[in-house]
Amino acid sequence: MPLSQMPLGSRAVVSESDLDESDASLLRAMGLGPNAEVRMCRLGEPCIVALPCGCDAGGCRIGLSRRIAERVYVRAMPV
Amino acid sequence: MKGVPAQAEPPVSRVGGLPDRGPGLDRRQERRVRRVAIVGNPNTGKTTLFNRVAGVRHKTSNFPGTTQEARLGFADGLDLIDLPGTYSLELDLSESQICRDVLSGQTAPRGEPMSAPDAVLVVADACNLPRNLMLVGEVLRRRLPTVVAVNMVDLSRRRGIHIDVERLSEELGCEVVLCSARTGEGLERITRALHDAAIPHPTPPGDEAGLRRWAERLYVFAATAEEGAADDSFTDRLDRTFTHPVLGTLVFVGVMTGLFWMIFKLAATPMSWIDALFGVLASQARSSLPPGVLTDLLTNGVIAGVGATAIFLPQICLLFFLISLLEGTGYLARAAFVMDRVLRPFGLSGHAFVPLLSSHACALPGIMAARAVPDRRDRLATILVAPFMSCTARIPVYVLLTVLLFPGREGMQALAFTGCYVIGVFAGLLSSLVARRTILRGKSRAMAMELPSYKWPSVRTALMLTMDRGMMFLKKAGTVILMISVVLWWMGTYPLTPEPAELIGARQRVAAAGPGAEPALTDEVRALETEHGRVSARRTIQARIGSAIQPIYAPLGYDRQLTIGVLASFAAREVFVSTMAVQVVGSNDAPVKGMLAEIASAKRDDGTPIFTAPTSWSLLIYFVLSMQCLPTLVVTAREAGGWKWAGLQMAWMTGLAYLSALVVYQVLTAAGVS
Repeated sequence: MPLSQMPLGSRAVVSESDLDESDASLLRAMGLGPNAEVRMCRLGEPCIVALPCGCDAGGCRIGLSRRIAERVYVRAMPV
Repeated sequence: MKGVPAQAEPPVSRVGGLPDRGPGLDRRQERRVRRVAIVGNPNTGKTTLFNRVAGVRHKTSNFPGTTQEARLGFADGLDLIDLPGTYSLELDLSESQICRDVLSGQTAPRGEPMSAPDAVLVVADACNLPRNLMLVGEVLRRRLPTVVAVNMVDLSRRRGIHIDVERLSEELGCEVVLCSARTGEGLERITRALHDAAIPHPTPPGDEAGLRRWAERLYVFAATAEEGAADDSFTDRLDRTFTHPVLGTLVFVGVMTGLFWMIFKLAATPMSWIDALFGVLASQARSSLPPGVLTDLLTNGVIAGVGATAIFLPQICLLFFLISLLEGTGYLARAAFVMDRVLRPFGLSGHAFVPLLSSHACALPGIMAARAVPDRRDRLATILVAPFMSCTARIPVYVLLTVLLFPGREGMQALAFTGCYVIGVFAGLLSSLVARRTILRGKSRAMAMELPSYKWPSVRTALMLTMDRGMMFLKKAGTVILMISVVLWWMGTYPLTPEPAELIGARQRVAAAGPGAEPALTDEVRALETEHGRVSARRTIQARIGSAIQPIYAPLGYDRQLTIGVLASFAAREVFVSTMAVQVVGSNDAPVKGMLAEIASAKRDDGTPIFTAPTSWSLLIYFVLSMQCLPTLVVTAREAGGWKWAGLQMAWMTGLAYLSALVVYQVLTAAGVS
């Protein structure tokens, strides 16, 4: 499902995106690449996700326009 | 180094007996000085770390053929080059390209030798190590002596993240230092490690996926995190508030209003001190030096010109200081998303927010910051409209004109001043809309941006930036503006008109009569002196140029002196105030009562006041909208990729300014406003 449809507070793993390469490579460098775990912090415009990057205590936050969030696909993680 | 506990310990390999010196000195003859490139992801505290290590001994330099900047510093036998923050060395972005080229010795900041650095310092965020280790891996593959500074350990410890520095160092094959640029922890070990740095032995994988697996494996191996140690609910709440369509906008308006209010409130007192200081200097020079051309040049050229500009230093310093503090809190990145909603209908993206905000300081860094706008058309639109944002060079003109329009009414002055900013922003947005419907057709690109964690801003970093920008401004006042003031003084003084025989005779009669001279006689001398002043002012080179061009500006209400002021402003806008000061003071022998008051009472050749309400409003609008900055045009041509863009910018902005000022002047005059 698209990242933009993740429920608030839920977790998922990025599977793929259909963004153009310049956007996709920037997202990957920021840590939002395939297999990255994300937690949804804010839905809508902008969509804000937290990337735990290995541990919940750290990581970073990325703000995304809805247009980008709609084109990044994730698979839900079991709760 | 003052105040940094880390520096109390003597450095390991300081160049023998040499005192610390600023960058740019001939120190590279010392063989043991090492050139160190500092790289890191954005938001890793790289700038704070650089400021801590280099202290005040640094300068800013750009890369030849680009507008990317690096800061150069010197500390403990190390030449430090602080490179722009980048997520990766392999991205198709200018900051990434610069870092790549510096590490391979293909480029260097202006004035630096073009060779690969002797060592690299990679600054990594302790709270976000896996991603930061990817950049570490990319640097290690370059086979340069490397040190990794894992920064913000104070924060990571509080969050329950523990890093085994020995394991990490062993795996990376280079020294790893845990540090906190905020508290100063570990900084002395960084300089020592940089002197001892050697080429790392293992080489990380070259492909992106392999590098990611390598970084993740390393993180698992060298770091542990306590379960449930961090609670992000507060950050979540703040993020939702700051990016909320209504609340977020209200916060944004409140923050920006507070910012400008503080700039005005806090700057007023130091401004009056500077004004008084230059007033005293001019009076002292007049009373203690013999009358003549040199005294005239010093008081009416140098002191009047530089004084009228230096008075605005407090506002410029405050603007940079407060914006830097605001950026340090993490709020500005959220504000970019609030602005994305506002900017998108006009064909600009939220990425344009930082360039446009920076343009309120100066269009040059604003246009340079537009490189971060990923889409070409978005970037071009941003570059074209950035100079509409009211830069600090316009502040002197705005202050002068709002004070003249509303003397003694500070509330109205602030309102008119804010109005100038609003008009500038709207003119920029509408111009972007026009551009996106004509020459740059298409929608703006969607945004993706890291949101740094909320924290207390570093006052030290803000002060460093303020000092940097303040010195730049003073340097300009002491060079370009001084030169223009002297030239204007010369053009406004020469050719000298000999005093008429009538005046000389009247003076002799007054001298002969002594202290008991009749008042009618002294009045006659005064009247003849005023007449002589007017006649000679009209014969100067400046008056002739002004008179030749003035007809173009006459429909806007500008006389010869204002025309000169507007023309001289093309070198730099703030020159307007010094130009007016030099012209007015030059033709007025009244004692200096403060530059602003002198300008306010200036008269046209026919004796009527220069600054009537319609003229002041017309000038204000003209300065808000007009393109009067040669350096901006040069940077636009370079950044946009051709002089046609600079030409378009010039024609559009100046045309719009002329028409708007014309309408304002004619409407106010027709309405009987005086």
